[in-house]
Amino acid sequence: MVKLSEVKVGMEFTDVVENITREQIREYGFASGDKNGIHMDDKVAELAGLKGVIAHGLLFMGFVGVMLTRLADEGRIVKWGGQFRGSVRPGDDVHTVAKVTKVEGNLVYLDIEQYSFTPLRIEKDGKVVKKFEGEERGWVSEKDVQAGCLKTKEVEEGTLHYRWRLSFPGYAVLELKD
Amino acid sequence: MVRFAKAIGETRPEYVQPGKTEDGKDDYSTLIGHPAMPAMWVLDAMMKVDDATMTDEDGVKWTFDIDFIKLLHTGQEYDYTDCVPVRAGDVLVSQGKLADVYVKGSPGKELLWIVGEIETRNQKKELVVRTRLTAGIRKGGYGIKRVE
Repeated sequence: MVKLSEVKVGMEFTDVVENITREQIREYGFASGDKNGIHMDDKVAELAGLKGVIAHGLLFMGFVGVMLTRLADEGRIVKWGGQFRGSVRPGDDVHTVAKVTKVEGNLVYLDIEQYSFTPLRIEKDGKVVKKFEGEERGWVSEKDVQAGCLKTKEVEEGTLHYRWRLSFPGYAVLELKD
Repeated sequence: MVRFAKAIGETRPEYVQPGKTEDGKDDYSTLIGHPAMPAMWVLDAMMKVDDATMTDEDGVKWTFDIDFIKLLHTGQEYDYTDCVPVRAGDVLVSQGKLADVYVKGSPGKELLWIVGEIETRNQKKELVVRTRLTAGIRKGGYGIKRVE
């Protein structure tokens, strides 16, 4: 939560939803009414050429909505929205950053960028010591490679190779209270 | 309302925790709909885009012929300006219009883009949300047909 008097242009707020699961995606399907097989059933998704289920775009947009209700607290969300740019899969973490771009009276304008983090494999001494589903199912596309989405970082077990990809760029206007 | 809010990870009580009546029963009148909740109905509304008709200069009526398997939902916006919250027991009616339609894309891979604007009102005719959604339909998935 954030108070109007504390908000400054340039401030950033972050939120992370870790390790999206198939159960979470299925539950969203039942709760929202969107039970399309590409979200609910790996076999159906594979028949559609998707290499397994993908999360509903409106689910990871919903994560932004939850972040915004927390920020608005006693205030309210006036407008918000964005574009579905990249799929989110089971095992992904979803990172959302909201940056204040304008404050006008009690209205606060935010730019939103949401990224999916897809773990691929861990290497140590030139050998693969752990493979994640994204590596095994071949979720990385040529487009991901060309766009520079593949990255590495050091973790306890070795070097983690992962994909970092924009999933939902958007905006919001909040009406805040003190 | 509660199941949807919980499914996106919401924990704030106004969305997920009903109040209590004097005799200790759950009181859902304290709840309001989550600002992401229009997701529950706007996709159905979008699927009705081929109900939209247009009449040409000769008076012939046409409608879209869309294969929804080839549809990609690409954008969604909610506007709550001057809106009231959704409450348990509300009856919601959505009215949509086709705000824009155009063909765009690289040669041979053109998509039909549709922009829909939907207003949703409750049983008192109060506005609860305006939704704008964008979708692209891949080549081979769109055309028009004459309405008999």
